[in-house]
Amino acid sequence: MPCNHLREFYEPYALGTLEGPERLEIGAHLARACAECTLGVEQARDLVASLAYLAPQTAPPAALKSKLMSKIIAAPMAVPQAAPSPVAPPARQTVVEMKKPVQAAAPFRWAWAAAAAVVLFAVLTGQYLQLQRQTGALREELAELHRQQNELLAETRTYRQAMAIAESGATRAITLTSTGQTPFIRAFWNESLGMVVSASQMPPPASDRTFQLWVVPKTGAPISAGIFRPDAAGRVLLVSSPNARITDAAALAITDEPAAGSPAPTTTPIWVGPLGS
Amino acid sequence: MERVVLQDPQAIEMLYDRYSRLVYSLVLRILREPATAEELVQEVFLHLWRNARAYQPERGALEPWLVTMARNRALDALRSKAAKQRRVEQDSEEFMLDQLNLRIQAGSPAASAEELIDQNSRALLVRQHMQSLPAAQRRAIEMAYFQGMTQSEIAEALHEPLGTVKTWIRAALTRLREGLAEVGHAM
Repeated sequence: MPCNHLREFYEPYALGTLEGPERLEIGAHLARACAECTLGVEQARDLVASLAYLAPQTAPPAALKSKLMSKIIAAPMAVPQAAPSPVAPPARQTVVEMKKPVQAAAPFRWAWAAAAAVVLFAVLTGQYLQLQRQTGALREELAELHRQQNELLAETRTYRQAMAIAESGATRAITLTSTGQTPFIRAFWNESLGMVVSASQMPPPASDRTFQLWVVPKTGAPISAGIFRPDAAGRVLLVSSPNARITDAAALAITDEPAAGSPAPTTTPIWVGPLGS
Repeated sequence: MERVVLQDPQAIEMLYDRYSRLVYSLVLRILREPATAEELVQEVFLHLWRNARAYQPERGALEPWLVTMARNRALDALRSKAAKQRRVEQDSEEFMLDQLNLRIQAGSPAASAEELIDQNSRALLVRQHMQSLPAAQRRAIEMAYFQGMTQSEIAEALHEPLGTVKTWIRAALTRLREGLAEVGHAM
């Protein structure tokens, strides 16, 4: 997409609200160090930053400045991970003094020892049970964090792959259009890296159906490039790995298929886009 | 900034006096938690101190650079699950927080008069332009800027068509850009 078509999207991009193909396009232009888009997005970022003044203006607590300055003095710029200051006091050590046992009469000594043992046992048992409860809760929290981390990693991998495809000089951009359906869908095709399909405001297929992407070769039957459903907001980001079987692709097409997908298209394509030269 | 690069603590102190109010106000508005906001303000200025050489004046003024860094970090913190939970609880206490902010403001030292006039005139201008927008449009901009919501999320939250939200945001920013340019705050 040429830069002059992207100008109107610089500000939503800087604000972080932009989605869909336009976001990918601007990202690709910036990654290619496109001078016009870089300048446009920087100016938009400055404008967006002025929205900070909409926040109720509140001075930070006075103590914050002295806290910061003490950290700054202890953290020189050239050493990101500041070494402990040579003038800093050594870490406080806990010294356990072994006191000389008090001499007591033998019968009382045994009674005191038994009572102390009972108290100690009760305290330790309570602490043990509390620690067990805390450990259980922490384990659950950790499992949830692992799950979230895996989801984020998968999402990051998808975006990285999408950006690598969109940024490559050998990538061709394809617009898939339809006579009856809006909106148009953008695809980025790269023979060695794969393909990205991106859309927004896409209507969902019926609950027992799915959309299926096809690569239509110049000769032979269409080859499936994956099935997908738009999310609740109608957004799609599908990344397909390169397919060695596809050497002479002529077009991309999207059909409506049964939920599990089909080995060959069973309906007329809804969106079609020629690959061009 | 050159003095910050040369490791002059007084220089970073001056920058703190000039920008800490803006940065703190922004992150407090996003996070609604004074303690977390204070930590984040420290992080931002420590980052500036440690990475002063990375700042390129030809790529833009310092204020937007600092503000953008602070906003990104605050939105990252907001997006974490725990922060989201806290936000749900605290949104209902917005009035109480505003009262607390007023008390904090009353008890804190101000920056120099000249700096405050400069920042205040800019703040006034931005607020005036936003106030002139219809309430729903203003809300859309606030949801985008302070909550990091996308156009689709805003459309869903406001029960408005996506196209309408896109138009609102574009129109509001265009109007702000033109308004700032008119009085010499070119963007």
